[in-house]
Amino acid sequence: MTVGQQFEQKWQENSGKIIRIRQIAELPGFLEGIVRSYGHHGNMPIVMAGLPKTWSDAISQGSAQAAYLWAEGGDKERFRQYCEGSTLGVTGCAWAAADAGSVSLYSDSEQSLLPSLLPPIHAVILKESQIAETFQSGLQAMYQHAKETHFWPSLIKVIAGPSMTADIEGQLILGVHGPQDVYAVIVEE
Amino acid sequence: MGQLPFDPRPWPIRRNQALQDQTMRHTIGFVTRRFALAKRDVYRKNPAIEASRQAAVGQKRQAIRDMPRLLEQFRAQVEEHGAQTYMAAGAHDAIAIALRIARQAQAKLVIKSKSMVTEEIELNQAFESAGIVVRETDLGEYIIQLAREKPSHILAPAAHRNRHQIDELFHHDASQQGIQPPVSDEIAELTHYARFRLRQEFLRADMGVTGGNFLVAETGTLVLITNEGNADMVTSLPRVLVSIVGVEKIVRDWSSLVQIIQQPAMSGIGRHLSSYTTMVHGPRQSASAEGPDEWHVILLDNGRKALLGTEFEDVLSCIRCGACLNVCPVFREVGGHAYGSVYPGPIGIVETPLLTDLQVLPEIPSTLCTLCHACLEACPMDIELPHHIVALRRLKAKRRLNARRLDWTMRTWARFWQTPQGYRRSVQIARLAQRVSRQPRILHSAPGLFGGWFETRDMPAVAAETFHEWWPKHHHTGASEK
Ligand code: SF4
Repeated sequence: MTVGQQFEQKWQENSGKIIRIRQIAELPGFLEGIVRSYGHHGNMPIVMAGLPKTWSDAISQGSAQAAYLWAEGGDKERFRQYCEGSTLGVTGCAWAAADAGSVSLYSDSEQSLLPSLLPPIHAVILKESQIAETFQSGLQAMYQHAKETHFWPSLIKVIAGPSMTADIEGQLILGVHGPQDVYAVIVEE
Repeated sequence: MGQLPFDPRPWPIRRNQALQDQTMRHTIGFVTRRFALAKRDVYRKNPAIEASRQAAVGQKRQAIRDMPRLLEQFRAQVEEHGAQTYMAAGAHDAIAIALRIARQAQAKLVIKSKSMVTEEIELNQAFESAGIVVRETDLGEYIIQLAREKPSHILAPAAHRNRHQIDELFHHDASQQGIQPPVSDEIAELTHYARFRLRQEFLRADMGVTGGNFLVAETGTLVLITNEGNADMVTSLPRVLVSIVGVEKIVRDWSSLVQIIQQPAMSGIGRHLSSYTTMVHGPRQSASAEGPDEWHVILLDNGRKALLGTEFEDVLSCIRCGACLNVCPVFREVGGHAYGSVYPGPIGIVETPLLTDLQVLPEIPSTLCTLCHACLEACPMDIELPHHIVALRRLKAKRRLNARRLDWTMRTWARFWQTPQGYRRSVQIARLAQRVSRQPRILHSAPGLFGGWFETRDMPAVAAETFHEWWPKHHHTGASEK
């Protein structure tokens, strides 16, 4: 099994959903489909953060629905309001782990954690080359990088599945505070 | 010496209440068995985890021994990242510090993610008396906050309540808030109500309070683990963040964290990771879209450091995974409330008296353990729980903390059972007693002090002829000692 396949399997075991796409051009249509099937009422259906420019451009231009991208120097209050009112949060990630089926996001000037937190659906877009074999090796690499750059992001978030609870009668329910659906979109290189 | 809240009602009352609560017993039984099975499966399918677990145990033990130095290192690191740190000797000190921060920040609404330490110091009550609203945001904690109760399981705090009872609580809450109540008592609808209700407060809150699963001394990292995502709300949204963490959560360096970080999820719920693992290094960096402007870390001792260098030191390695609760035959029957402490289960009966120098609930190591050793097998941190339970019983006897009548009975019993003759005599006396009391097959009661034991149990009667009595009659040449 390749690292990518292992990630897929684990991510799904964690109740996440998987999409593989060949080229970025397929992305807007797919995201639009999610928003349409879930329904949307406000004025900003899609919020984005931490995506390479070519990807976010493709989404903004290729999608009939309005999409807002967090960028350095942005207005954080306004972004928070957009995130609260949106249906779909789209982010990149710093790295993923195959054995745990997880993705890791850093809060910094380009990447915001809010799209992965406030909307009911989160889609994280990643390339297969970003997937570490094990969660442990990913953490080690993160540490090396922080040591070399002398910089730790103030907040790091590792996501391994949708927000879930079994607090009432032990029954599993998805989407208690964070997203009820998480999609990992793997872009094949 | 630490201060811990406790239920002052005597054990028989707590016990009877628990045993009569069928809702609680059903849910606790179901939840604990599921967690225990999931844990067994994840370890069996991933044999490589075992090496990490063993490494984690060794490193954690060493970190506890080096605690004072590592805590200083941690403080220096996070202060360099722009946070403020405080040492709180006891529960009152931690409360005073947290209140001071809240007042300075003019906080009116505080949101909290799940934390056992804030239960330990009774933060909610203190804030509410000071006129500050505190909102629990973990679903289970939110439910018991509405019901004004304590958690019944460290991972599933509201396991004693069923959907109808929760629906009632939510209806009451909705009418007070003037909002739409849950559409039905379906669990998904109840959860949806909590999401909607708590979301408003997440967005409005001025201050967030978290606990912590690990503190990394080398890098100045606080690690928080949740499944609901509420800790991410708490760390991302309010302008002030206060993290109150027990000093024993310290690990030395990043490589120790790598070994231990998956243990709570693996041993607690049988997953590689919980849905969310959040690492906080400091307040918001100026260009970030989220994170607090101020971050305060309160490190709580409350009786922990007094265990350093004692035979009980390994208790401080506990990662609060709940595995020992899930396998404990006593916990599975009575649930958390019967313990009377915020820390229930095998770890609770050890830690509660230890943190308070045997001032709080010293009876629980004697009353709530059968010495079956299941907890020792389950504990990922190899904490010698059964050994400590026996040691605590010994300590209690030495300090004369047992009732005199109990002491006398135990001593007399021990005197009988010290020799084979004494044992046989006791069998004869018991046989006579059961004949007089007309209980030929099953014993349902006994006189005096022994009566307590039978309040919740039966016992097979002593046979008309025991094996020991039968043997010498039939095997004259055998090794019958006399
Ligand atoms: S004592 Fe061991 S099994 Fe029990 S909660 Fe602590 S670490 Fe887990």
